[in-house]
Formats: sequence, C-alpha cells, structure tokens
Amino acid sequence: MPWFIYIALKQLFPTGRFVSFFACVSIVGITLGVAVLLVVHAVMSGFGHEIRKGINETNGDIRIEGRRILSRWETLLEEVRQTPGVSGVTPYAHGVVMMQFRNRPAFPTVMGLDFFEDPHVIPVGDFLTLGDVGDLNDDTVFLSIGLAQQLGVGLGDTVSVYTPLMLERMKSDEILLPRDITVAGVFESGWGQIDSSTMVLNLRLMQELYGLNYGVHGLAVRIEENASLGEVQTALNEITPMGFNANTWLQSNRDYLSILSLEKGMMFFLMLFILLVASFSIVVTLMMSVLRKTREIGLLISMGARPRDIALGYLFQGFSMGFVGTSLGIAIGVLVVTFRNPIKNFLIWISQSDVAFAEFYQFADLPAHYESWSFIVIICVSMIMSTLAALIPAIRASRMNPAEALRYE
Amino acid sequence: MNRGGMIGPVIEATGIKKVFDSGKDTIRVLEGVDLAIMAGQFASIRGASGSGKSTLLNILAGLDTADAGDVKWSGESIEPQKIKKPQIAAKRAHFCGFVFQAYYLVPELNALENVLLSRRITGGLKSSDRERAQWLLERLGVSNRSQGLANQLSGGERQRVAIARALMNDPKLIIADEPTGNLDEKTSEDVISLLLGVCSEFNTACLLVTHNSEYAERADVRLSLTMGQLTMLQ
Repeated sequence: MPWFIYIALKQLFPTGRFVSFFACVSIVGITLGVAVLLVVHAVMSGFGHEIRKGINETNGDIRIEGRRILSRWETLLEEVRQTPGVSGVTPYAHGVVMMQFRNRPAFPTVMGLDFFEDPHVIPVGDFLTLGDVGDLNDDTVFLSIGLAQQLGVGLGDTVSVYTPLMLERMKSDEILLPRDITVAGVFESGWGQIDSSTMVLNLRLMQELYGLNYGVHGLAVRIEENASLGEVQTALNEITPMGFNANTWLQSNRDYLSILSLEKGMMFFLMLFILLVASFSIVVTLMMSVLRKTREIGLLISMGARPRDIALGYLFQGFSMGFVGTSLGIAIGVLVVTFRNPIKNFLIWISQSDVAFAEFYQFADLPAHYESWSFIVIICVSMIMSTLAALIPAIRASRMNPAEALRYE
Repeated sequence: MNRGGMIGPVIEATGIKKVFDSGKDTIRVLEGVDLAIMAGQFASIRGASGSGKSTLLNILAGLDTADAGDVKWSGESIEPQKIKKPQIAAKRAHFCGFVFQAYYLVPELNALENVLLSRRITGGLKSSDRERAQWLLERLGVSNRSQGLANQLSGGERQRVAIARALMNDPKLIIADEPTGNLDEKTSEDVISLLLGVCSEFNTACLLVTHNSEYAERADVRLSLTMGQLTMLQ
C-alpha cells in the first residue's frame, strides 16, 4: 500500500479509535446529504411514477383521434387490432356534461367506453371501489370518487345529466329534458385529475347524450408489454385515415409530464446544495488537518516524501470520507424509503393530518420509485464533490516549504 | 572506520551564505560557512538563539537552499541547479535521519509504525523491515512500548522512538536539532548517550545542535555559530 494512503487511512481511522472526530463530522454531513437526496428523489419519482401510471391506465398507450368524429371505425378497429404489437383496442367518446343531484351541480369530464371491446385497454373495472362492471348499461354510470363525494351520491342514486346537445337543440326551438341516470359504481384510479371529476358510461349512452349517432371520438390502443411504443405508433399512423393521428400517451400529456420531470429535476438540483454544503465541511476538516499537521508534513517531506504524494494523501482522505459517507447515505436512504409509510404515519399521527394528506396528494400511501441512473448520479456527484473538496487542502499541503513547516508553531 | 569504504567527508559545505530579506531589513544569517563531517564523526554546533543554527541544518539537509555556496552529500553536490527537488528528496531519505526537539512523531501511529514510516516513504516495507524496526526499538530501550501510540509515550520514550526512526533507513548522517530541549536532565543525558552510542555502533555521522555545553563537549568536533560564521572550538 502506498505510504500516503496508509497515512490517510490512519488519520481517518486512527489506531485505537474507530474514526477521527473531525472526519466523523464530515462523513455525517455527506451521509445526510446523500440520504436526503436519495429519499427526496425516490419519493418524487414515486409520485411521478404513480401519476404516469394513472395517466397511462386511464388513457391507453396510444390514441387515434382527430378534429372530427370518427364515423366508420369498425374496419379501422380491426386493422388496428391486427397491427403487430397491439394487444387491444377500444372505441371511445369523451366530453363535458353538467350533472345535478339534489340541487348540487357538477361539471364532470365524461368518458364513454365500449366495455365489450378489449376491456383491458382502459381497465375501469380494476379501479372500482363500489359496484361492478357488469352493472353498467344504457341507464347507469360510474362516478369518480371525488365527483361522488362532491355530489354526495351513493350506489343506486339517480343523477340528472345535461349535455351540450340540449343547447344545440334549443337553437331549433326544441327542448330536450335532462337524462336521469343511476349511479352503478364509484372508481378511484389513483390519478387526481381523473379521480376529482370524471364520469364513465357506456359508449352507446355517450353517443346518445352527445348526438354522435354511431360515431366515436377515437380509438384507444393498448400495446403488448415488450412492444416499442414508437414503432407501433408509426405503424398505426400508416393506417389511420386522413385528418386523424395516432398519438402516444406521452405526446398527449407532454406538457403535464414535462412539468413533472422539470419539478423532479429542480428538486434534485436543489438537494445537491446539501451535498455542496457537506463537501465544504470536508474542506474545513482537511484545512484544519493541514494546519494542525504542518510540522508532520514538514517531517514527511524531510523523510523523502514527494509533494505529489502528500497531495494525493489528502485527496484520498476526501475520497474516503466521500465513499464512507455516500455508502452510509445510500444505506440510510434505502432504509428510510423502505419504511417511509410507517414514518409518514408516525408524522401524521403527531400532526393529526391524515385526511388532509390523502385528499391533497390523492395517495393513501407515500409512493416511491428507484431509478438506477439516480443512484449512479448521486454516487458520482457525491464522490466527485468530496474528492474535489480535498483539492484546496491538498494543494496547500503539497506546496509547503519543509523548512518553514518544521519551524511552524 | 569509514562506512562503505568512503574516504571523503559524509557531508561537506563550502561558502554557505543565507540572507533573509524582511522588507525593510536584510539579515545576513550565514556568511560563508564551511563544514565537513566524516563518517562516524559526532559534531556539535552551539550558538545563541537566532544565530542561524536551524537554517544551517535545513540547508545541509537540502530542505532549504543557500544563496551562495555548495553542499555535497558523500561528494555529490545537491545544488538546485544540478539536481531536481524530487531527486534531492529521494536521496535525503537514505542519506540523513532527523531528530527534532519536539519529536514530531505521527500521533495516529504507534511507536513501531512511526519507526517503519521512513521505510514506507522510501519504497515500501519488506518483511525484514519490521524485524529491524523492532530491533532498533529494543536497542534504544523502548521495545516494550512498540505498540503504544505516540501520545501515550513519555518525552524520553518519544525521543528514543524518533532516534530509532532516524536510524531506520541506515542513514549516513543524523541531524539532531536540540533533541534534549524538551527533556529533563536525566532523560537528556540518556538520550545523548544513546545518540553517541548508536552513531558509534552504526558508524553514522551525527550533527548535534545544542545549547548544552556539556553535551557539546562530548562531540568529536565542536563548532560554534556566531555572527554567521562557523568556528571550531578547542
């Protein structure tokens, strides 16, 4: 082992003691920085992952849609179904309606789906907390949990639905009465935007409410697990009629997803400052070490040590503190993420804010998601910062005049 | 006895001059110092505080450079114009060992590790080095403290360990800068006796800087540094 590594290790972990006090302070700083960075990033990724999952599950992987109504869609549907990589396709129509229950109005988004055509494309049944898919017919609807709570409706209640078609008919002095529909189920997808105010109904009922006749607004496509989203999209674009496009769920929600990504990136960037502060503690620790050990450095030079080796010794100390701190930080971070929900429950129990948390974040449990690149980035940044932090003390130590260092009081 | 068959002086300095410029004042510390020490010779230098003893030692050890003059180690000049700093450092590690007033042991290492440090720096440990370090500690009477950390040793023990460290690379010269300055009378006497003994035993030249006239008198060559000039005492 090179002597400077030996001395560096001895200074960090002296004989008879586990670790030097000042090194311990720096290591704790790096540990906390890495742990906080990892926990925040994992939880932010978890939120993002859940939201992306929610968007994907309620939209399908690809949507074929245009600015007009898709009137003859059966042939297209079959062609789409035969496209390699497609696992299912279902027609849909969507819009906005006004609904009323006991003088309480709401303006939900409404989604009409064909529950007989590949129900796994948009698995509404998986989200049902009350009711059953089999209960859905031309006179019943499913309401999202937020909408049901807002109106105060339960299973079997009847709501009145007003559609834009009524306004159209009023222009020709024709009055359409609101449609009374029974609530057959309540669902919760986990994605706040859907769960807050959405009504799901049978495609036939939606076509009737919107006056679409037999037309739909588009086709929702689910691809096979190993299929390439881009390749399937390209193949679908070749068979879609003029005026229609196949858009992936990533494209359809580009703005929202980019905000999510930006938010996560900014959070990661801001958290890096914790590591920066921690690395300053390494600078201070090692600068103090250089000052305290000035005469020892002079002695080492007098015994034949090269300035380069003395600098490498201090760089190695910075690297070692970074390595130990990063390792402990990763371990503690993973531990905190693993036990995040008991920790969250404890904090909620202290603050008595259980309901507020669930309502605000739309998640009963704190989500978390690891990304391998984030581990690599955190480890690299932490190690580089720790090692670079040792650069100033290393340069100072290596430039010492041995004669002056030996006289240092 | 001449070590390694060398006939000339182990260290030779000719016309060493050193001036410190402190802005307003110019202090002429050394004004043409000449010195030659043969193998196995024990030389002492006395002088008032601030007379330039430590400066002279640093120049002789290649830790500082003279403004004029030349220093030769075993007949080879160490002038910065003739030899590069890393080469001087490498040569110094084998040429001279140091004993300082404040011991300068590395506090994180135990006595044995401190002795072995000079060997580590000069190119890694061999299996025989540990035996030699242990033997040196035994010769200097501190083998029972070989596992004690530097700050757990008494002043006398620390200085003995420092002497063992200085001898570890089998140097041709030991430079001892007031090695008894921090020790009581009895321990000082022991340390000087040990230095004299081991230098004679290993045929190592020793250059001792001391304020103590009694210890200075015991040297083969007695020198005094006054007004920047080195004079030999009878």
